[in-house]
Amino acid sequence: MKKLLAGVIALCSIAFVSQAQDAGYKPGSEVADFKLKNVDGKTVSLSSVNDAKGYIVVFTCNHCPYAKAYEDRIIALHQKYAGQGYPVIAINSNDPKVAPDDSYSKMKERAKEKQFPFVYLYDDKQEIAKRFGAVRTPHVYLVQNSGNQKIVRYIGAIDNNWEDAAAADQHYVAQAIDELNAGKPVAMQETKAIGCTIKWKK
Amino acid sequence: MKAMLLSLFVLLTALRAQAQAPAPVDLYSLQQFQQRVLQENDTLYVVNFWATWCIPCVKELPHFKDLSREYANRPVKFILMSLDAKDKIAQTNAFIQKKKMGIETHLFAAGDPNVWINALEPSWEGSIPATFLYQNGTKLAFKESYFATKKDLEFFINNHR
Repeated sequence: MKKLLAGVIALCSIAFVSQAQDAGYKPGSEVADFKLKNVDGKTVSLSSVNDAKGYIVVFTCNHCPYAKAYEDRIIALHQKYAGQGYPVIAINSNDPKVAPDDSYSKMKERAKEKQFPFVYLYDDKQEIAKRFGAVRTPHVYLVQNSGNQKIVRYIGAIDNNWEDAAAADQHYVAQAIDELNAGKPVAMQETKAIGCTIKWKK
Repeated sequence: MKAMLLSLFVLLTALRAQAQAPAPVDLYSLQQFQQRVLQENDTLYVVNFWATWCIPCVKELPHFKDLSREYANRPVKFILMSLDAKDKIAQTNAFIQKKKMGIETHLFAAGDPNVWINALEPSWEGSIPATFLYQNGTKLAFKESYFATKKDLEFFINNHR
């Protein structure tokens, strides 16, 4: 009986652990590199970005009002931080069957209209969003190159006011990069924000 | 006597109908929200966070509308908390009227989302729709996904009360 019980407990904890892994990356997690197609047709991986100290990985999309509200702020982040070693890697993982505005061709259109200075990748299999544990748009994962590893340093929102960029008084991503560049640990490692759900395939 | 009873019935029905017509959408702070749903009474508060632009939210609204009618005589109160932008309050109100929701609706203007999301539910990743159940001053349940059918919502409500 005791053995059986121990077995059941072991099984339960395995189930629990695998569930926790399914839930995606946490601050401190090591990121596995990936390859996705950019809007220019070329395949991009994290390692293919030259001179990067890290990456501002943003799960975003075309249609979501929150993503739209943050579009110019994402461009501004890239313009400020790509030169400091942290380029934006934007990823759209939405199923275009659910959100037609988020198809690859619409991504190309949007990138051209807004002249995105960063790559805008299409996660058509939704594997990368799942691996990261991204659930909404926009959803940021700040990744730092640390030796051979790519480590998550911050997960969450860009700032604390989606409606009014000027009224935001916490600029989480910018603060985190400034801390990393100053050789300090990131103080605020995780934040919550409202966003649109990633539109999963049915 | 019959006529009197009938007129009384008509009067009561009219009163009920009046009581059911909810006030226009107003702005709600975190404190107002907590005072509204954390009450020491038997009423079950079914609170749905949504927005007019959110596709799955709008899809599940009819389930809330239908169940609010079916549960009209039970101690169950449906509340919609819109996460539309503050300057979209008129559009949100028009949307609720057009859909004939007949459910108490507020526009949640609670400031820093990292503060209020964690205050309401630390496991909430921030996606909507999200639905809460409150009763007797405590949170009974939370679900961060949408209800495909009215039955799913009904099961969620009855499973936790």
